[in-house]
Amino acid sequence: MGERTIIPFGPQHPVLPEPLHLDLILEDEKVVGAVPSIGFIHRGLEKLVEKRDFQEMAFVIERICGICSFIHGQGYVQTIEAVMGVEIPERAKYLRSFWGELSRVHSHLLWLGLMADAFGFESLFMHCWRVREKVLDIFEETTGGRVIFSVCKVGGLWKNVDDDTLRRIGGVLKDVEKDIRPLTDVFMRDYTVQKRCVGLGVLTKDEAFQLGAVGPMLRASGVAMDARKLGYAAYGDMEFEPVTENAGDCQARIAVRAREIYQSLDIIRQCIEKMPGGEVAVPVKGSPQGEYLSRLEQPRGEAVYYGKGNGTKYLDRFRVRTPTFANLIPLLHIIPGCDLADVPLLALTIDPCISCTER
Amino acid sequence: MDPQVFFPAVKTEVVEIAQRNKALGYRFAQMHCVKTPSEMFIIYTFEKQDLSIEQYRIPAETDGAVPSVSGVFLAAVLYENEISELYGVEFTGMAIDFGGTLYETAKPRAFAEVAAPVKKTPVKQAAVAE
Repeated sequence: MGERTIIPFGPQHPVLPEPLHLDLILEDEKVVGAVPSIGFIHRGLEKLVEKRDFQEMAFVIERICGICSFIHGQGYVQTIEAVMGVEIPERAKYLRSFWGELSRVHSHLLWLGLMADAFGFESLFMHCWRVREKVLDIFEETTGGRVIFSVCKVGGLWKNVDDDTLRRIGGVLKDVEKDIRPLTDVFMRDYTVQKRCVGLGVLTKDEAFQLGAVGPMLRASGVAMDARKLGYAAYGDMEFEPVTENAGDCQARIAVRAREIYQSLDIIRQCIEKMPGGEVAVPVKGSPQGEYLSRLEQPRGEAVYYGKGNGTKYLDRFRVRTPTFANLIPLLHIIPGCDLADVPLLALTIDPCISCTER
Repeated sequence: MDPQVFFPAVKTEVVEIAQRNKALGYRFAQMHCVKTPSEMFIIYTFEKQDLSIEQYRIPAETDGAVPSVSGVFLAAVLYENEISELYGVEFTGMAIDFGGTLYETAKPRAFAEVAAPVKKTPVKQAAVAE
């Protein structure tokens, strides 16, 4: 056994967009253990529900994260609607799925860019983010925002999107798909990417399930779990199957995310084609009383939302279990045994969102 | 939405519940603590690959020890540390005990007290007060 050294990794590190700290225990170049520290950006946002009106909280919950913002807002209002027994209009459900899938496309493009940057493929990083801008333009056109959208409310949506705009967006997304194709080809087939990612950080099917992995991290190990199959919003009317890979390594996680972009574009197309007419909101009377736990599929994986109301406009509790929180333990499992130089790639491979994790 | 069931349980049963659910093919999905002016409890959620869930509610108290389920599901370890730090609920036998350094909040047990709602001051009154 070589001499053991402890190397601090993070909280500030070029591959980490947000602060996560790992104490890496090394024997020569091999990592034999990792001890995590988080808490650098804990804001206690969940606690605010005791002080803020439940309608206002929809805006706060969106601000948990700048990437999953729409789906956080959706998760909150969906939970409160379940507590209150509110049935929202069909068009609102379809538009929520439409924006949810756009969020997945831009999140996966962001991550693929960061991954390319992490293994030193700068031009690939720039192209991924260039295409992502087109998706953000669609958000800006339909919601008015590029990061925070504030379109979800308890009872439906604040904004509608007319059918002509939706059809035109369908055309724009065809161009986006053409732009993405050569990029995902590089991720899936390029020798340098394969050399860096194949066989790295393997998580077996059983380990992924038992350690609580979610999202692409779980599906890349061959477990076909996707919370969208619960049928919330308009997903019950959409035709899709969870994207899975079997290798459980970094390359498989890249492949799942790359393939999910095409799946999301297909679901958006289905939303546009099947979009029902009518209103996008119903009036909501009274205050939430009761409790409900709902699950949504964020780009990074299954997120859990729990709300408990007491009959006043202030909730007793609102809880968010984010995908990165669930994926931290699997990360700690795949790090031991790797080389020090592989740790940045492995940390990035879970698509860490620490703002979400700490709330 | 279908109504949800939160099965009542007591803290001495949680490890057995976790073991039983594991044997039935469930995995640990999440746990969280709820503090209201009148009660405090912990909810455990287990889920299967087909997305079906089982949920349990156990009463909890600040400084009252609850057996850790991290020996059955390692995934529980961060949740238990979070609850321990924010609510002051002690867990016995945690696989990794951060000893209160997970979040390092400025105020210990920051979530253990129920906050009072913000009283909004009308804009005109606020301007006069200033």
